[in-house]
Amino acid sequence: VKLAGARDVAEFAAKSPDAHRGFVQQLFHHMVKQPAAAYGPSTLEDLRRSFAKSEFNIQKLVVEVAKTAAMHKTSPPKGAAARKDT
Amino acid sequence: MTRSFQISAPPLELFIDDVVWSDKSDYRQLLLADHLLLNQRLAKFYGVKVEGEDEFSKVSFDPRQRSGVLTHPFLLSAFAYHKSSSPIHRGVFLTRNIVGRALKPPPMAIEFMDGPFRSQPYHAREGRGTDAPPPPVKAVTQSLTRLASASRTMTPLAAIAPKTTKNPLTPPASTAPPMAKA
Repeated sequence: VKLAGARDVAEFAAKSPDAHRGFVQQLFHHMVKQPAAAYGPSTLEDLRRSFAKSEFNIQKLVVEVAKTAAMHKTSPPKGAAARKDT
Repeated sequence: MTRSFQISAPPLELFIDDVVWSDKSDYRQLLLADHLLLNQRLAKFYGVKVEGEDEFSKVSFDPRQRSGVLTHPFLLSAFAYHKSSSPIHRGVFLTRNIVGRALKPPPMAIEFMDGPFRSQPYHAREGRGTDAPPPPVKAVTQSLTRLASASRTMTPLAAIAPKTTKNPLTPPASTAPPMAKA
């Protein structure tokens, strides 16, 4: 890869999965104050995939990061379905 | 120039806010945008004209010269010395944080190795790391021999201490506390 100038670096980063992963990682750390790896080995890659799928929408990524942090190690309350039925 | 901004944050933060809170909120615009937010004072510095006095306005530049946060003056000045550029600081930041890649360790030629440079016998007071090899027995023996011979020729402390007839442990009369009577 040959890069000459800031524009080349920017265009390379805009298309590079490594750069996307780095951005996700920094945003995650900024918001949660923990590394993404602390929330599971596949968390970072899942977020990167979701980020790419949303056309690199930062607001949606913020929502995904918040969801990941809030829902970590949580499960639906027991009997929630039964209470709904009654 | 399509939109003006109130002065509430530095231009870099205004630029990031503008991208993040736009409809598309596109991460790629942080890298590829060719505009800067300038007020009258900054516009004068860059040699362009903007409307308004204190409001920040979008000003487009040559895309070959400007590329998002990468060429933003705040970022460039943050990774530079006060009088000169610092391509190494900027390059490390770009590689690790923008491009998301790791840097290779430095070459072996500039590795600092203190072991081979030791020509004097080891002295315990110098201290050493736990990884350092133990000093050779011969060197320790020589060191101890030198220490023993030096101690024999040393002047005793009593010989150079000021001579006094008083007991040094006895405090002066003026400051001595009164003795309690039984």
